[in-house]
Amino acid sequence: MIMLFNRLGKSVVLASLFIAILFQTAYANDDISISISLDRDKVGQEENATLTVVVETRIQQGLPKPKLPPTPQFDVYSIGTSSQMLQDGSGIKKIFTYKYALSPKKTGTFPLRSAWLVYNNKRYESNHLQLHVVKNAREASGPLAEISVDGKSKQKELFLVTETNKKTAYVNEQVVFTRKFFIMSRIRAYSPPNYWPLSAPDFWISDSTQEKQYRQVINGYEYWVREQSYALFATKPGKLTINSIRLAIAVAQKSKRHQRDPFSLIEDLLVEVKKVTVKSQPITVQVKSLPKKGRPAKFSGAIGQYRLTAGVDRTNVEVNESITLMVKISGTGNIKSIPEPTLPDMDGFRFEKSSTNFKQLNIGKDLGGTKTFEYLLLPRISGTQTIKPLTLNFFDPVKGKYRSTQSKPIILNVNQGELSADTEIPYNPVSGQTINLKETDIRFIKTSGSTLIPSGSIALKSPVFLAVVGLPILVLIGGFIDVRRKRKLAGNVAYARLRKAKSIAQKRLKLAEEYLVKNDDAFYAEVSGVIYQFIADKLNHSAQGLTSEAVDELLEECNASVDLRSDIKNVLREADFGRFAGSGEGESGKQDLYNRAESIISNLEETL
Amino acid sequence: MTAFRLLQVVCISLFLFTSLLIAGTLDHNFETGNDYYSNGDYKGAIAEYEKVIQAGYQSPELYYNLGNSYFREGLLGQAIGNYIRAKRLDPRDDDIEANLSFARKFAIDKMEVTEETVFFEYINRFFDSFSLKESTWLSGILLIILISVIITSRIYRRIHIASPFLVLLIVVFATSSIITGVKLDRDVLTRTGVVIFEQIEVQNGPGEDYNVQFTAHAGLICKIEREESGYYLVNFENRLKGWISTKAVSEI
Repeated sequence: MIMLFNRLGKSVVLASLFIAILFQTAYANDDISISISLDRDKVGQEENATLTVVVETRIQQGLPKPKLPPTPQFDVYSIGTSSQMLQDGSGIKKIFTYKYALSPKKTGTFPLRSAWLVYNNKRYESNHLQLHVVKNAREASGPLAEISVDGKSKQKELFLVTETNKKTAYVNEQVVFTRKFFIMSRIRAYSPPNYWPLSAPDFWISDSTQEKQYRQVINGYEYWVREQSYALFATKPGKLTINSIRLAIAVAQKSKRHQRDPFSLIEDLLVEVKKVTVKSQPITVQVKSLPKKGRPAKFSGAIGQYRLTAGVDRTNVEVNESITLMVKISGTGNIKSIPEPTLPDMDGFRFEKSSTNFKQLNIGKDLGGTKTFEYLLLPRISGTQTIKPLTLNFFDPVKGKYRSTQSKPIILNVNQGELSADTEIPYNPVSGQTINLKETDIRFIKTSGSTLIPSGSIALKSPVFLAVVGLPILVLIGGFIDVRRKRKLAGNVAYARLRKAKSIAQKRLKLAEEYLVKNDDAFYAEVSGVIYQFIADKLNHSAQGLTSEAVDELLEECNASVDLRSDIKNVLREADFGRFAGSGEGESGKQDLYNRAESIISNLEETL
Repeated sequence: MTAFRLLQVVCISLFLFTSLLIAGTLDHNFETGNDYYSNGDYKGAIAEYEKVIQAGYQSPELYYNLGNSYFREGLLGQAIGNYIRAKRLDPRDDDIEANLSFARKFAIDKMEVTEETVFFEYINRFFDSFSLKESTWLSGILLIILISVIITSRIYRRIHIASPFLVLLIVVFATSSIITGVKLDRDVLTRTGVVIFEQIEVQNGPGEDYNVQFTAHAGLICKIEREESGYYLVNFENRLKGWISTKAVSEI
């Protein structure tokens, strides 16, 4: 039975592998595959369905974004794109995922035809889908316990309120649009609210303010409120609409089906998360044209309440010395779009606009701020120069009439200085930096004294540097090694004698050779002495009192060969004989004795 | 004289002759560049100076003159880059410093740099007053003196290791070595660049599809961290990082 299972198991594994390889091969042949899917097949008219388009490809670059099928029954918003790379047996596969929110316009059943893309003149298409749009969201998504409360109260649990601070306005007048999202504090939210972009095609929409959060009690229910405002500026007269806004939020969905179940407590902990969509009502604003009566000739379209000031960084300057003129417009209104003020005649100056800075502020509920224009001025004529007042004409919607604001004149004392008005400055300095022109121009080139050296050469790598620095280092290292060696020799007599044995023996042999040449009988003493001394030094033994027998014993302990020991004995005996009985062998006998002694030292050096 | 020895002599002679010839030609290029500059032909001057650089040679005067030529041509980034190269080789030259400061005033971008304390400012200025070559040789010579003193002290046993002279010598040597290390890090190990395009977008990734962080202008100096897909990851003086096309940056 076990055998049968084993065989069956192996067959299944092999079959699976074969199928997997077959599929992979088939898949590898497809360069691009495209598919679409929906997060649900039924959706409420006030809800959104999520359409996901997945493109799988092995093409690494240049693949176009897939096109969606025409969906006239839905508004389509892109809600994100992601990409992923996978390594499989056939190489790297890229998976691109595009997500879209489909917001239904009407109820019914609508087909979603295939998404497609064209690559290398070949069209790739996805599968088809179908989406049912029903009127009631509950009908589509089933009961949402925390949305429907207990069924008795009509109090809404989450809702959106939008409002404007005025129902009538002038063109380009600021209308503050406020969006408030209310969610009962007992509702558990699992994501921050995801707002659709504000849609008001006939308005210029300014940046939103920081979102405020606070609690508010309505009909005895406590709500969390998220409030955010936008400054809108109408671009044309007429009855203009700010479209409804939507948001999606994930909240806890609790099922009531098992409330009597004793395990429902655990189910309470394992709540399902449901994504819900909330929509506000559209708002209409009546926008009026600006009155023609009293409109100044130099009216640039600024609407709001503004103040213009002007100043310079210093009033005592020299000819061609730069100063910065700062023109500041502050107040409430569409300050970002305030045009550059018209400068008065600046005959005595060269000037360049250097920068514009904008700072937005909330002034109460209204949006305002400061816009600063900076100019770089270079006086060209010495003497007292005046920058005439600058004027800004604007329409004040509060007072309903045109007004103007004017800066004060600026008086400058311009000295002749070292620079003449004709001095050419090679660049137009910009960016509002205070440039201290101590130097009027760059200094002249260097015409002599250039010693060319190879590029990229650094001294640390040059052979000369390495030799110059390396030599003393080597000397120092050598010195340290020598000192260490000497210290070791001084502290260890046996080691010192061992190391010096050969050099002492060589010296004594040389002395013996000299005696040989001179035919001096001291030769024998030196020959026997050198052998005794060498053995004593090697074995750290006292040379005093050593006899040929003692030497033989010592060598026997050191496992010296019998021949060597015998040879040593003979040489020592002959040397002793010659020493005490006098020379009787002649010069050739002495030479032979010397050679044998030399050979013994050499053999002992190897043995000991 | 053997044939091999003869061959050696011929090769050495040829090498010396060629070197002298190249040096002569490059000196001629430098002087021609100077003549072009004096006559207001800055493009011609740039061409001559660049020939010397392409031949693999450099000098502070060469970079300085090249910086001047680029400045006259209105190429601020290249001018600043060459002044910095000149300053590295001759950090105490007043003309180089003056022209570099002057040119940098025309750079549009001004980075907000964290202000250093007076102490570190002084230290930096002190470090900047030496070139890498100078500090390397100074360290080498001080090392030789230090070794000589140590060896002498061992021989004569008159100088103790704690003697004020030896301590001073060790301190000076250590300082010089630190300067060399810092200079080596700044001038050789750290890749520095200067923006040479009139304006270029700094992005938050190596490609055109990434968001633009800000627009950099010619003359902005940056540290190059790495290169990827034709873009440098650069670090600006205010520690802001971004990706910038390699074509827009000249490595100093």
